[in-house]
Amino acid sequence: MQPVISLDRVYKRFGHTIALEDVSIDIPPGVVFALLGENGAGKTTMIRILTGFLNPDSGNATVLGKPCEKAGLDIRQSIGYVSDAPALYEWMLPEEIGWFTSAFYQEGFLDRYHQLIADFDVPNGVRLKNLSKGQRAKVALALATAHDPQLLILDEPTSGLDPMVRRQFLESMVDRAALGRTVLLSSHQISEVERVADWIGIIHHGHLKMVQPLEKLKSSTWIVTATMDDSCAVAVLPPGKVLTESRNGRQMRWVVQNLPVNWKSGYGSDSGVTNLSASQASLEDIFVAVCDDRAHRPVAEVTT
Amino acid sequence: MFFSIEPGGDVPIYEQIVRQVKLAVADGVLVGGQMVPSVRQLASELAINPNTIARAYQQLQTDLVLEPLRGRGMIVRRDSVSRCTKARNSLVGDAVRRVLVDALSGGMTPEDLRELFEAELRRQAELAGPNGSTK
Amino acid sequence: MMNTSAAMTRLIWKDAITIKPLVIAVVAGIVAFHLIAVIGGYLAGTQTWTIGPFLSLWILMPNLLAIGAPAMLVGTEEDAGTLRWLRTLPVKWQHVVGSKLIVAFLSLLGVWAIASLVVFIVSIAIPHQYDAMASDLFSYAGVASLLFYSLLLLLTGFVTAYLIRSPIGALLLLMPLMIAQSIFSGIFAKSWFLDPFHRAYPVEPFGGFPMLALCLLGIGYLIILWMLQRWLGKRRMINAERSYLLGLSDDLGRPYRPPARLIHVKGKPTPYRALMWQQSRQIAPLASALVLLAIVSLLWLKLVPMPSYGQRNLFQHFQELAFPILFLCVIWLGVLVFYGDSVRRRCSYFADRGISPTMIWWTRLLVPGLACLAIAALTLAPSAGKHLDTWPVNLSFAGMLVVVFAVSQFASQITARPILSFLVAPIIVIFYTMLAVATFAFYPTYIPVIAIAVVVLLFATWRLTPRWLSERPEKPFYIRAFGYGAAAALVPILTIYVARVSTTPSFREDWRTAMFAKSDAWQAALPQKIQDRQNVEISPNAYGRSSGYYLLVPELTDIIPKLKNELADKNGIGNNVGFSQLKALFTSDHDLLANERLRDENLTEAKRLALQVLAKWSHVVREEVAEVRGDLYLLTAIADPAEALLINNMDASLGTPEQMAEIAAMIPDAELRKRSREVALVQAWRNYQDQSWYQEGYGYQKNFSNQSVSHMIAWLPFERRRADRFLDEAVKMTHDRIATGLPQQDSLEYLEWQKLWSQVGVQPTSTARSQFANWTRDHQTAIARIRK
Repeated sequence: MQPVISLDRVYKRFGHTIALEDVSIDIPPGVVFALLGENGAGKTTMIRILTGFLNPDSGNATVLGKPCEKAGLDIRQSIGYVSDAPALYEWMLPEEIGWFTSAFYQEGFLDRYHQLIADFDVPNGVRLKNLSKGQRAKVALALATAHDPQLLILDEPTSGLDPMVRRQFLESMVDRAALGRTVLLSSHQISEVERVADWIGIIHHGHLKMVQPLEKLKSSTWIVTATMDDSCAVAVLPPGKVLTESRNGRQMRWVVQNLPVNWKSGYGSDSGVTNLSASQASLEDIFVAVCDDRAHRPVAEVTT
Repeated sequence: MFFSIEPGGDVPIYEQIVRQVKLAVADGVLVGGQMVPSVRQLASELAINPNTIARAYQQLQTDLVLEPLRGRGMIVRRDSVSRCTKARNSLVGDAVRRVLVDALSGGMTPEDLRELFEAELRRQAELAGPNGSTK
Repeated sequence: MMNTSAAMTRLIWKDAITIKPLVIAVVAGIVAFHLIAVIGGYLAGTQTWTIGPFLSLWILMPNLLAIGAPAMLVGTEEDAGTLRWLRTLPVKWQHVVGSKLIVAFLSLLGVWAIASLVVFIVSIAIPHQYDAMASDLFSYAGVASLLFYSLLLLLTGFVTAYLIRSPIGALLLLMPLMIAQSIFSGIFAKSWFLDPFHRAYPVEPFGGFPMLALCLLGIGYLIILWMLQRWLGKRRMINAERSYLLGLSDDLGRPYRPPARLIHVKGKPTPYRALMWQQSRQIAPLASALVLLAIVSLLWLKLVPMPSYGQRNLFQHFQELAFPILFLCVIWLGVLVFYGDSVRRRCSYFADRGISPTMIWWTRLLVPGLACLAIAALTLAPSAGKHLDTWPVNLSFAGMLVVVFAVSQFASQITARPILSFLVAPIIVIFYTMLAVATFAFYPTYIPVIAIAVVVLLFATWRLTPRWLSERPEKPFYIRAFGYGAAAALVPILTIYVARVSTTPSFREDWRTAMFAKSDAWQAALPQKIQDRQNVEISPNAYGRSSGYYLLVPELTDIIPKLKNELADKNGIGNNVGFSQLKALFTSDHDLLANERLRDENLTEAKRLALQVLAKWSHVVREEVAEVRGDLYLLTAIADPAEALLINNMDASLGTPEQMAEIAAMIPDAELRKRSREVALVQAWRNYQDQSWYQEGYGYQKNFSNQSVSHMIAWLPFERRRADRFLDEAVKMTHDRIATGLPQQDSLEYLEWQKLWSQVGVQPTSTARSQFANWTRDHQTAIARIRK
């Protein structure tokens, strides 16, 4: 099946800063894809390239099979985009901006829009500039989803919004997924991402570090804690892919991916380790492990 | 029924749903023949990815707790109570095992443990009252 | 696919609502300004109206809309970020760009129509004199060229708005582009069309095929501009942002972010330094551009010599543009004062931190204010080859610039929408200018009072700063602002009025009673005298103070017999010769000889006879006046000029000493002179007192000796009173000096006496003073010398 979003070795720089480097990804349809990354990691740049606001310095970007650089109008017919702090016409009423926007889409936009506004409890007759931040965000979401887009792109849509509104956004995303549409979500609300995402992509300093299904990622990443005899003793790395290593007094901790079942076998009685345990990593742990610049990353990979 | 989902916890979300459904059946909250919400409905209600819900239902179907009703959705199997009770008991067993491992590796003696266990049993019995109900 | 007409409808609706405030402001301005002009004219009692000022308004206001429309439509959307949001929708760029142009074009036409309607109403309702320039403008060619210019302005505005992201940058770029286009189109039209045409057909007005070709070329150029702005609009809507522009706009768009190079500065800056740095970063590029443009236009004004007549080359021709550009630059400098912080209400940053509003206020003002003062100082420099270039004129021009700046900074603070302030400020400045013109046309000597307005406006912004910082402008804010604005307009006027009232002299009860008594006495004696003397006929030919140039030498044939007849005439004077002929005798001899073939001896005799005639006239008229049969006017029209002419031309060479002595004896003696003058003056004064102020048209009038008093301002009651009182003072001073003669012409006393008469407001002032020129001591001594 044709991927909804396809990036092929995309590279983009602004002056001295490299925003994206060698980013390649294919996102299949019907998936909720969450893009995680720190501020300035390149998420927004990537989204801007996908929506046609920016052109990559090199590499290709296509959405729904159409090139982002050339087929902007076509692409925009089939996608919905909510940026963070969307700039709408402050002087319009919600029904006015709905009526205004419906001109550019097919029949049915207006009805669905009104339905969404009603569901979201946005008051009619109040100008956008007098609405609260959450209500404005909901209007933007309604505008972006009323035409039942194949792809919904959300760039940190819930930052600064109250939990009720966040919940409504999540429900919207979930609805889209249930209908078989694709959602690209850029966020750092980890708890939200854990609820709704199918796939996770972690961007760090312009590089796509990790792209995996959420379940698989979580189930295959462990936090291994070892208590040592001695605060100066050094222990062997556990098997699998070690992301980070840290030390605190007599304890050492590793974040490890693909930990084999028999991982404890490497630690015999002479290894200097008195206690060993492993627990499943949360998405937050994984994210920090991937993106923490201060973390210590041992290079060797031990296989048994 | 109400679900209580902890997204960041140890247990994957779909597994949490599976367990909670089984517990509900075992407790009689869900009875045989009762319809469970559709994937879409539940996903929307819990703000959880529908794939996760689908996976949970799939699992429950494999475990012979739910069965599809043609064209209408999923219903609870009438014979699933015992299975669920067994599941619940096995979950309890897992919990006990974890506690014992923790306690023993922490340095508690089996005697201390047994004492603790008996004392706790007695306390629970008192709280339950003469009916013997534990709820 | 999307519905084209639905899309366009909605885009047009959205753009129309966006431009609404500007259209309302411009239309309100049109109506208000015409109203003020009309009311001002009526109050001034203007007899003949000129259509000129109304025409300027008619042209100016729609062009203001043409400047503002692209800024509002494209600039505000850019600032608000909605243009970016539109780009995320499947909107065709053609629709977006097209709808903006349609809305702007229709608004422009609408405003032209309204302005034309208003001017039409005014021109019908008010009788006005024919104006050649007006009829030029109202022709097809004139209207077409005005529309062409407006459309040029509009399209160029769109070009710059799509080209430059910052709306203010776009406005700034517009001006040099317009100058360049005006110059080139002027040169082009002139050298390719007008000059060849006039060479080929010198007499005919420009028309026919060349006119058609020029029109087509003009339309073609407009179409090219239309395509250019469309292409630039497409570029703006479709193209990805260029990286370097992102960096540039960041700088202008985020002035609160300290630049990297500040890191090396140790310690924290003083609040003054921090605030100044922030303001300069916000507005420095724009302010520099404005100052540069202002200096260029100022140099253009100063350095390009302007011949007062004859052909002007194109540079001189376009000097007319330099004035509005200079003013616009100063206005926009004033707007910059509070613009930077008004964008997106960034000023609330200060409010949130409790920084002293006073410090914020003057750090906002400092840079633009100094720039304005620098420009004003430059205007004081003398300019090359300008006859109008005097110190007071330059000073008032510099003062005007300062006032304009003060008004603009006030406008900048009270306009909620930052970009709108750039367009509303000129309108408010025009409003204040009209008020100022209306006031100072009546009171030209009080111009320094306008400094009060500057003080009030600066005070206003200082007081309003705390509110401006913390709250969105709502009704209470606007009410206060309106109050300050009204104060700035009214306080100077009130000051003038208070000054006028307080300098009104007091009522001289006793003196007036004495004067009335004298007058009554002479009036009482009149009826007998009428029976005593026969009427003396005084022909208007004897008037020596008529207007007009003596360009043609008057007829001097048979002058000697005429003079002899005149001397012999017992019934009247001026029936045989006129004053102009007498005067001509004493002027250019060469012309005389050529004209009349008079020989030297005849000329001498003629001159002698003429002197006698003059002496006789003076004597007769003075006697008439002393008998209350003539008035002051006769005295000053005949007697005084006659005596003056006599004195100037009394030359011993004209005759034997006996003949000269004979002539000297005919001159009225001092006593007669004094008496005639006293009677004339008191009667004139009495005449004045007996009149009442009568309404002429929409003004009040009263005459002193055939001249109207308190010119133009008599509709105010306290002004009428003032004129009366000052007349008393002036007459009293003159009367007191009749005996001794008025002070010498060069003395301080004389100047003071002159000032008294100017306070009376007699128009024209020069003739008023020259009425009494011969009453001075110099004159007395001169006569005394002759008679010895």
